[in-house]
Amino acid sequence: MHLQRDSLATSLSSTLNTGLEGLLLIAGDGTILHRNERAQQLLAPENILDDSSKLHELITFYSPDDLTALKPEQTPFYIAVVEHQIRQETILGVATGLGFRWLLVNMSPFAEGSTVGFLISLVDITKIVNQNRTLKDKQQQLQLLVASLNDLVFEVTDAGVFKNYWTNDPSLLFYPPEEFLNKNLSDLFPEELANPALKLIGRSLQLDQEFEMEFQSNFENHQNKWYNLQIKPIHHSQNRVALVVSDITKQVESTEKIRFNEHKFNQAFHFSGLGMALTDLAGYCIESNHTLTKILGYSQDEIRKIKFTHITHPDDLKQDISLRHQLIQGEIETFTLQKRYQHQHGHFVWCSVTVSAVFDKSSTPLFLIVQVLDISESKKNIEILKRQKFESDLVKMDLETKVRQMEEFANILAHNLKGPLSNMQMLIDGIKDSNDEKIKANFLELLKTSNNQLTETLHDLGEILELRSNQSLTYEQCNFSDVLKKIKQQFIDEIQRKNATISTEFNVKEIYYPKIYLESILSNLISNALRFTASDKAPQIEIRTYKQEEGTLLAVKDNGLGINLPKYKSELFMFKKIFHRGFDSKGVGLFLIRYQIESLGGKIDVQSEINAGSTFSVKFLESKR
Amino acid sequence: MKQENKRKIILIDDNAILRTIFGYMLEEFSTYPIEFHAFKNALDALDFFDHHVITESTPAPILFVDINMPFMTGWEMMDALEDKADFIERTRIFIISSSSSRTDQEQLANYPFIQGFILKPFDKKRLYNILNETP
Repeated sequence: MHLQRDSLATSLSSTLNTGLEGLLLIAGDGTILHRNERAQQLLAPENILDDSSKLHELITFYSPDDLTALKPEQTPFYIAVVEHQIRQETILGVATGLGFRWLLVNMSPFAEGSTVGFLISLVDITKIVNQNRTLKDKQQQLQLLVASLNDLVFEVTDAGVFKNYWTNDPSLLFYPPEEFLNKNLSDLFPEELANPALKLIGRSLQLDQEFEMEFQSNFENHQNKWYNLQIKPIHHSQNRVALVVSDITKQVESTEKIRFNEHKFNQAFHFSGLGMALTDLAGYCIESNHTLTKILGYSQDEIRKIKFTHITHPDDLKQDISLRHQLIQGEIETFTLQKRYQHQHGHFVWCSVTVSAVFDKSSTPLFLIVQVLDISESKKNIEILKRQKFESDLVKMDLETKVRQMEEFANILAHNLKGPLSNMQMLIDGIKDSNDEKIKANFLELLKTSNNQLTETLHDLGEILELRSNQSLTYEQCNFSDVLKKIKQQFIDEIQRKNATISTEFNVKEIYYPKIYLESILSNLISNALRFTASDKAPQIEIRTYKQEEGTLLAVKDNGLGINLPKYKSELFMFKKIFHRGFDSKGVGLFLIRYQIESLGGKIDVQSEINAGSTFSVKFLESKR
Repeated sequence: MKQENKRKIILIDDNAILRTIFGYMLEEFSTYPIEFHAFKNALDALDFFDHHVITESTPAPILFVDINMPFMTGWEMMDALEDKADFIERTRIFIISSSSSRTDQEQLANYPFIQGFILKPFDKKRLYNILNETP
């Protein structure tokens, strides 16, 4: 027998039709037998539930977990009908136009006579589920948030008891969670940290304000790390605060470093022995130190109103501006130049100036650092040294000449005087020993010759010694042509006999010089040029004068025998040295004129090639009139 | 022959008077006969050696060489002779000089074949001793 719809009405209708509970009766195969108004509202307000349909096939239910549609077999109704398992407190969703309606479903078996079925109760818990879902979302967001933070967040009571924590990395915790949760922070941390923290928690709650403090960790695994502790009142619960702990070691360290660097720079800047200035890009001084004031004479306030171009020597300005431009353009990192600043008193001060630029992160130049070293003293000293060196070089040259002359005199004594003297000694001994009158007479004759030689040598030496004390020399304007004319007259015989030619090129016409010296020089050089010639070659002598850096040069060139310079150069201008076999020469001429030339600061030199000729060049150091 | 019995004495000195005195000194030497050659510079002496063989005569010829001479000094002449082993083997060489400078004394050590150094002035006795004692 079928359970009639109406038959139920009598016993259940009052129950079914009252309250907020939706009630359904389904048969053993799932066919809807009865439903109250509420069930109709909850399940399908827009279409009438067909009594003959099976509930799990008629309506699509949704899972509260992931909002997916359930297959009929997954519904508790099917499970109860087909698999005879009854599930209680199942939450199922039905789609409405606005979203889901969430229903708490309870089932109980039902039997009346031969009719077996299930009684289903439906309670609308949409509100609760939605709240739950929102909470879940929030929790998830919170977790995501915590995961994204490097901070530790604690929930702490007004008394300082840890109630909760959030962290991305549990290793950051000072203690394992089970050791600090529900414990007071004064039991966990040293007084110097716990006391101020507790005080701030109290004030934070009292004033409903955020506070923060910084502390350094004493814990072994976080030794010397710096932390920032933020205390935020949690408004919803009067006696709770959130503690946010952030590791700020890096910031602290870099701040320390910056502070240290700043300090260093300040010390270096203000106490530097160099004048230092920071200028803007236009060259106006932003800041300067005391040393710069000392160098330039302007006070630090005055300097601030000065552009560097105002006090730079005009001759140094162009280079300075160009270098600064390159610096600001980033073409050079730094430059150093020597320039003159005008001191406040008006005089110029030589400085070595080094400028570098400071750029920001985007390579925009911010300002220039200018370092100024006063080098006026050293500039002055260098000048003095240069002058002194020049003077001492002159003295040195003079001394070297004199020393060389002394050595030469020592040599002359050794060779030119000792020789005749030893001869005389031997002759005198010979005269004493000998009985032969004839030999005695011969020796006396030789003694006389030796004596003459010695006298002659002494005379030559005397001439030269006289040169060394030549106060009585008279300078006059000497015309080369005139002097040459006179000397040609002296040698007229030899010139004609040897068919010699003398050509001249006097680019310098005359010099201011002792005439007797010039005559002696030309006479000796021409005499040598005429004498030391090959017998088959007519002498050709070229005489030139021309201007050189420091004076006039006289060159006498011949086509004569030439001199073996590698061998004889060192002896060429020495006393009584001869270099040509078969000529009657004393070896005094070149020695004499060298003395004359050198005694007046000049020089004589020679170039020569054997059998091609020699060129003697005399450099006159002309005396200023 | 006559010449072979005479000992060759060769003086190289640019000083004419010394050459003359030296000649007079030799004239009075009587131990053995002497053939005297004097040159006023080393180049002339070397020219002479090129044209006259003096190394074959006995007793060995004796050379007296001055140091300070034009064109070629006594030391330069020693350099020129140094390579002629036969010549220095068969001659006796003395340096005569008025120089007592240290450099000249040191130079002496560079030429072990030199027999001795005679400082000017010197007298007959000193010369005769050398002539008598040099084999």
